[in-house]
Amino acid sequence: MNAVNDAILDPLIGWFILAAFSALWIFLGWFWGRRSEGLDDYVLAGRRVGLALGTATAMATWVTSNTTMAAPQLALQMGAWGMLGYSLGAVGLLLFAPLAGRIRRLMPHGYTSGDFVRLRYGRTAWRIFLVISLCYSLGWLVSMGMAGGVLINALTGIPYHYGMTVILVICVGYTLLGGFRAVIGTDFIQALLILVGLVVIAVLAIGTVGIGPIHSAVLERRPELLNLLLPAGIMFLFNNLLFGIGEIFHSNVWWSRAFSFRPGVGAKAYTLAGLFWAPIPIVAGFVALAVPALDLNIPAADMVGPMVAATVLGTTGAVLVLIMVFSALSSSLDSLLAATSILVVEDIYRRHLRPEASAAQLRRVTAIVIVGLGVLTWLLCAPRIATLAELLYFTGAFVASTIWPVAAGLFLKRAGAAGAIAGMLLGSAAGIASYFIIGFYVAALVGAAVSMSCVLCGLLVSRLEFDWQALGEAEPRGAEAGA
Amino acid sequence: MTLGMAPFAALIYFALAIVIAAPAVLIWMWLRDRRKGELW
Repeated sequence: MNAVNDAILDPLIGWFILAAFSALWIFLGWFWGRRSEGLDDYVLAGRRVGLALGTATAMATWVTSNTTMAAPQLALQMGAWGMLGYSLGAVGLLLFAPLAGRIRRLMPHGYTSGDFVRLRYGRTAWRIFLVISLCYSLGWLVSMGMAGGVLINALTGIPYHYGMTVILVICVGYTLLGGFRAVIGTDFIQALLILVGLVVIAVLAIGTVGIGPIHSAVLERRPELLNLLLPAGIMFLFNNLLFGIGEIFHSNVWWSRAFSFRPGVGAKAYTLAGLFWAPIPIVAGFVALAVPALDLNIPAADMVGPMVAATVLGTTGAVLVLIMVFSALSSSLDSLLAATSILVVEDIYRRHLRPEASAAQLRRVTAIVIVGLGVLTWLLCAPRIATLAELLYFTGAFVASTIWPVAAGLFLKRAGAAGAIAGMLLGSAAGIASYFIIGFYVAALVGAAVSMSCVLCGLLVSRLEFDWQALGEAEPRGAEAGA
Repeated sequence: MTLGMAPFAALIYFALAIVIAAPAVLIWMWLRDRRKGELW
C-alpha cells in the first residue's frame, strides 16, 4: 500500500485520532457495562432497546468501510448505476423490518438465527445453516480487519499491522467490557459521526465546485458514468440487491438486534435505518464524481473519497474521512464480534456440548469467545492475503440461498425442512457454479433463484401445519437475574 | 440514455436532504426515548 509520504494525513495526527477515539470507546464500554447483570443484559442489552438506539445501530452496522470507501470507487467505475446499485443495499434492511417484528413476537426468549432454524426446520437444516452463517461471519470479520489496516495505512501512513491491531484490540476491548450495550451505545455515536462527516464533505464539495460543473465535467470527460443503460451496472445492481438481502436475512448480526429491541420497535427501527442508509452510498459516490471537475489524478481507485475530501477541505477533510472510516469499521466490527460470539456460544457450545449450562456460565464463555474471535481474526488478517477479503464476495451464493428458507419459515406454516435444506444446498451449489462459470455478479442471483424454486416446490408438496408456539423456547436458568 | 443535469441534481439534493435530516431525527428520537424511559 502507500508509503508514509503518500499518505494524506501525518501519522502523528492519525495516531492522535486513533488514540482519542479508542479511549472514548473503551471508557464508554466500561461505563455502560458496569451495571450489566445476567446473560440477557450482556448479549442482548436486556431486550429493551428503544427506537432511537435501535435505528442508529441498524444503520451504523450496515455502514461498513465499503460504504464509505468502495461506494465512491464504484461511482467512478460504474457511474450512476454504481451509486444507485450500492444504495439498493438498503432494501435488505427495509425487507427485514416485518421479519424483525415477527421474530420478536414468535421468539421472545430467542438468542440467535440458529435457534430459529433449529426449532423451525430441525437439526440437519440447522447445521447446514450454521456452516453458511459462521463462514460468512468470519469472512466479514476478516474483511473488516484487513480493511482497517489498509485504510488507516492509506490515510495516515501508519503501518498495516499496527492499524489492523489497534482496531481489532479496541473493538474486542469495549465489546468485552460492555457487551451489547456498548455495541448499541457506541453505534449511536458512530452513526452521528458518519452522517455529519459525510454531510460536511458533500456540502463543501458542492460549495467549492458546484453541482452543474460536476455534472458537466463528468459528461465531457467520462460520459459513460452517466449512461443509464450500462449493462455491467445493471447486472451489478441486481446481484448486489440479492447479496444484501441474503446477508441481512440470515446473519445473526441482524437477528440479535431484533431480539434485543423492545416489543414493537423492530419493524420501525429497521424501516428508518433503511431509509437513512439508502442515500449514504449516493452522497459518498457523488463526492467521487467531483474528480473530473477537480482535475484530480487518483493513483488508487479506493482512495478517491479521501482525496476529494482532502482537496476540498485540506487536512480537516482528511481528518473527517479518518473519523468516518474508523467509525464505520468499529460499528460493524463490534456488532460482528457480539453476534458471532453468541452464535458460537448458543448454537455450538450450549446446544452441542453443554445443554445444561447456566446463564452465568454462558456469559463467561461469551466473553472468552469474543476474545477468541478477535485473536482468530487477527491471525487471519496478519498475513494480509487479499483473497481472504474476497472470501466475503464468494459467500454471496451461500447467503442468498438462505433468503427463502428464512422468509418462508417465519410466515408460512407449510414451509418444511425438505424445502429449506434443498434450497440452501442446491442454491449454494448453483450459485457457486455460476460464480466460476459466469462471474461474481450473478452468484447471488442464481443462488436465490434456485433456492426459491426449491422452497416453492417444498410448499406445493408439504402437508405440514407448523405450530408457531414451538418457537417460544425457554431461556437458560438465570438468564435475566444473573447467577 | 444519459442522466441529465436536472435529474442528477434532484437525486443528489434529495439524498443529501435525508443525510442532513437523519442525525437530527436520531437525536430527537433519543431525547424522546430518554424522556419516556425507553432508551434501553
